[in-house]
Amino acid sequence: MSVSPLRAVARVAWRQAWRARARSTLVVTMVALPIGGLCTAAVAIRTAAETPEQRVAAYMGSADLLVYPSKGVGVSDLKAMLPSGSAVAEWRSTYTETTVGGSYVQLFLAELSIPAGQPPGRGLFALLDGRFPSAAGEAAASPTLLDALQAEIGDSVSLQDADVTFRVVGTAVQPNEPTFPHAILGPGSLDTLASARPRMVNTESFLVDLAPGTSVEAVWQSLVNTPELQGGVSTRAMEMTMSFDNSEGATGWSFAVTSLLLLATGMIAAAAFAVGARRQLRTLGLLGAAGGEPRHVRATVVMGGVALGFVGGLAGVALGVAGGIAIHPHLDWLAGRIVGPVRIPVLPLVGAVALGTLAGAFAALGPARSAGRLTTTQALAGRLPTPRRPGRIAAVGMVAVGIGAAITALATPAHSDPWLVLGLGIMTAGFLVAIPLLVTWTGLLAGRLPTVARLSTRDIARHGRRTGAAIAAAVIALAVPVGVSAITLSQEALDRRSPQLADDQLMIELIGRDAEADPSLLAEFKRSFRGSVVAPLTPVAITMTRGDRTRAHQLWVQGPEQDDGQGGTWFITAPLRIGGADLLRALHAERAVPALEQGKIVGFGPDSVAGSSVDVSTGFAQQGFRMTLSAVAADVPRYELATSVYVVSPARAEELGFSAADWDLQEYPRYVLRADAPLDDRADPAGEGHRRPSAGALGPGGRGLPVRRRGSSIARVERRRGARPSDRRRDRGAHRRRVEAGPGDPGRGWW
Amino acid sequence: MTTLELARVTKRFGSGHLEVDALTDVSMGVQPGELVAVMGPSGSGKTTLLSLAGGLDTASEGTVRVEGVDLSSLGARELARLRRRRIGYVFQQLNLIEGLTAGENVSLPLELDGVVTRSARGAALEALALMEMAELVDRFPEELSGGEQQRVAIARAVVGERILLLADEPTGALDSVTGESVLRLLRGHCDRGGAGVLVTHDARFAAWADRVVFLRDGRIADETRAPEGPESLLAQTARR
Repeated sequence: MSVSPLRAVARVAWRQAWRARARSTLVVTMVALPIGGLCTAAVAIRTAAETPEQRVAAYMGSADLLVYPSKGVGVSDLKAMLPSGSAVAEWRSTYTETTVGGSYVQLFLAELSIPAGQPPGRGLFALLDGRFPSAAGEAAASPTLLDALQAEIGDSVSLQDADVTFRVVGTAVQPNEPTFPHAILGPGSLDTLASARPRMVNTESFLVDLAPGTSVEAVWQSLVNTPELQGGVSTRAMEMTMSFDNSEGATGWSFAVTSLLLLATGMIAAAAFAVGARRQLRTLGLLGAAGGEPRHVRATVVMGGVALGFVGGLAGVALGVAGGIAIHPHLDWLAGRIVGPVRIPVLPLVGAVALGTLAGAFAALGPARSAGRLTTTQALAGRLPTPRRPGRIAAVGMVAVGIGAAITALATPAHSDPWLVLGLGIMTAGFLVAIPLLVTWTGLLAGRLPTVARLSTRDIARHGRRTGAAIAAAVIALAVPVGVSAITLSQEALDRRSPQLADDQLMIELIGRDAEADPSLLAEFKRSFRGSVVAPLTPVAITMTRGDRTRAHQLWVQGPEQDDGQGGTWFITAPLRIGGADLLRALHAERAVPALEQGKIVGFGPDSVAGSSVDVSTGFAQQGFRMTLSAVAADVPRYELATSVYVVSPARAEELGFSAADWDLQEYPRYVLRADAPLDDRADPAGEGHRRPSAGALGPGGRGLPVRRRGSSIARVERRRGARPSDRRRDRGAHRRRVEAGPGDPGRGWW
Repeated sequence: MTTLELARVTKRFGSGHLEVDALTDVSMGVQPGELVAVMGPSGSGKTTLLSLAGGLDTASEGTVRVEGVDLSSLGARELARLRRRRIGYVFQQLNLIEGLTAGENVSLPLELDGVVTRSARGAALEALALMEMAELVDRFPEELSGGEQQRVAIARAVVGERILLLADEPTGALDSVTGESVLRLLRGHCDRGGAGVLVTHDARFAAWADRVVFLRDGRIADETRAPEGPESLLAQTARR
């Protein structure tokens, strides 16, 4: 089609759209709303996305070089390796805990050896109020920490556990973690703690500012070859190249979701265009009488869609940018970092307008095709052709629905996400194709219905196009939540099939950098849960000497190779624990006690041991320790959390030269408790117990947990039942509960 | 060459027991410069005859020729091209596309035919000037009276090199004075060498034609010259 006819039909389309303003506004709104959502998301993502520059500044400030800590190398040593005029700042940190007003507070303390805010530390922290600390004993704390400490600028804070006292001189945050409970201390504030308890203070890095004119590459080259630094040096440019921007992926997902929404929108908008085409039949007839060809008629309807889609896209972009600006004040909270000014992503916005235009054109395609099929005399007389009966494709659609449903049903318990997605996809596509058949069947049912229902049902069937569009939109709109639900249910089925703990078990983990195993704790747990068995899950290590270094390495057990059901194989790899009869009883494996006492390693579940041996190793292949030991599988259900272990008796461990590993080696002290009866929901401290104000709500029958620990102790308690899958998944990670209650005050202090 | 020729044309609608012949064995011709009026009661097949003559519909039997071209030999695109270039339509009412101005309505067939917009607008202005409507070129249909709308419709029907003008009750919705002015324009088109077919049920307007064809039940019942009378005299005057 040449330019003149195109202009002519575009003019007709645009003017017709303008004349039917109410209908056009409806279509424009339908396109604009999802596009608006997309653009708000795009603006928010672009604004909130951390640029490589911001990301690098968050851990190397304005420094030219980042030097990772190396044993025996301090600021003065590093300075000696650098050209004169270079500035070096050491970044140290520690973690501690305290209680304020009965509440437990975690603190992360950072200290720069130069006043924060000066190069090369500039950019590491963002000052919100007051000033940066410039001397020992001063600190700028994050608002989160000040809230927790119930302190404000000018107050002094004393942390007994960390032997640190500071005066708050300002509020400052890490730009990428503004809610982090931390304080930036003035130079020298951690000296006392570092000398008294060196393991509590870590050097994070050294930040180096080179003198102007110095070649960064040349200095990097000389430092990286310095044996003392072990190659732990990088330049700003290197860090930038390693940094990545993930905002494109998020924007891509937004586009995918919006496209789906627009598909649903397009179905409804198509009905509006069908009505529009019907109302302008006379115009289309006149176009034909004036010499318009079917393609001109089609183009007129499509142009209407393009015009409205374009306007909808533009309106959506305007809405989206306004939305992006509106949510900008809340982006810090949403993004979990301090974001800069609003950034408008031009390309995605242009893409959004294109998407809107496409949606409009897509919605108009069907009505355009129908209008193109009309003869001029039909159009002039306002007659529509008789609708065709649903054909073979619709029947194929019904078959596809059945196949899709079968695949989904089989994939749900098998928790196979690709098959689930495939099944749901086939089912949705089948429904879309089969809609005309469903509408026809609805019409056939009408004769059996009472008068009013018959009239409405016949009306639905007569206006098949409009009904079909509405059903199609509903199918697409429902497909997303149904799909998500199916996948979630599948995951839940997996969770239920692989319980974390038995009904009567609790897993207790002490969290804290200096937490130690304390035998008195066991007694306290036992007293709380009368008749229970409590045993520590003590890791096992072997001490090895390599060169002049002697180190303890934790031992792991590799179980037999297993089929993963998807064409691959996997191994159970679990830590070896030292334990006796108590531990096996706590793990429901009393019957394996004789085997343990005979010196056999005990695994849990029928798949844990192949034959009668397992491989015990340090986990690393090169020059590591590896030994095959006699083993037996305890005939008990395998609980993900409790029994993903192998147990060796203390006597056998000693024989083999194994020892109980230092808890600090890999993990925090962990205990497993088996009560004398299943624990009910009220005993679930990992669920919502922390919200219950009542005391003694921790155990069945009102038994409490009278455990007293010093202020910095935390216990993580996990159990299987009574908690929602989401809670269980969360608990599997790092859900923490504090035990802080005195004898005779059972259960108080859980929060 | 005969501008329009219908040879033993039959048009059937429906099928089976619903089948009905709208036209049966109709033959007629329209010469250049001739205005033929088609009269008959409702349902006699007047509009069907016009649709077949303009290529809007196809004959079940027989042949329709425009300037010697058998319309049944043309595809949809060729038929549309023929309508754009050689055939113009005027309907009883709602002749104009509401979203377009008078000028745009008139230039539409030319623009659809690929004529550059500026040239098409020039030709439209000329056609409107012929209808004494040039000053209303930028008015939208709702800003025009019924008679003015029909004049714009005639301008669109004759714009370019159209030679066959088909008018289906063009005066049906107009008062007699306005109707006469419309008829004068149709007559003028034929007097300039074009051919015209006027469907009407009003003898006063049929008197403007050179020949009147009477249809009844889809067949030509009679064919005669225009009746004598004051309107015919008026037509003679206009022709002179």
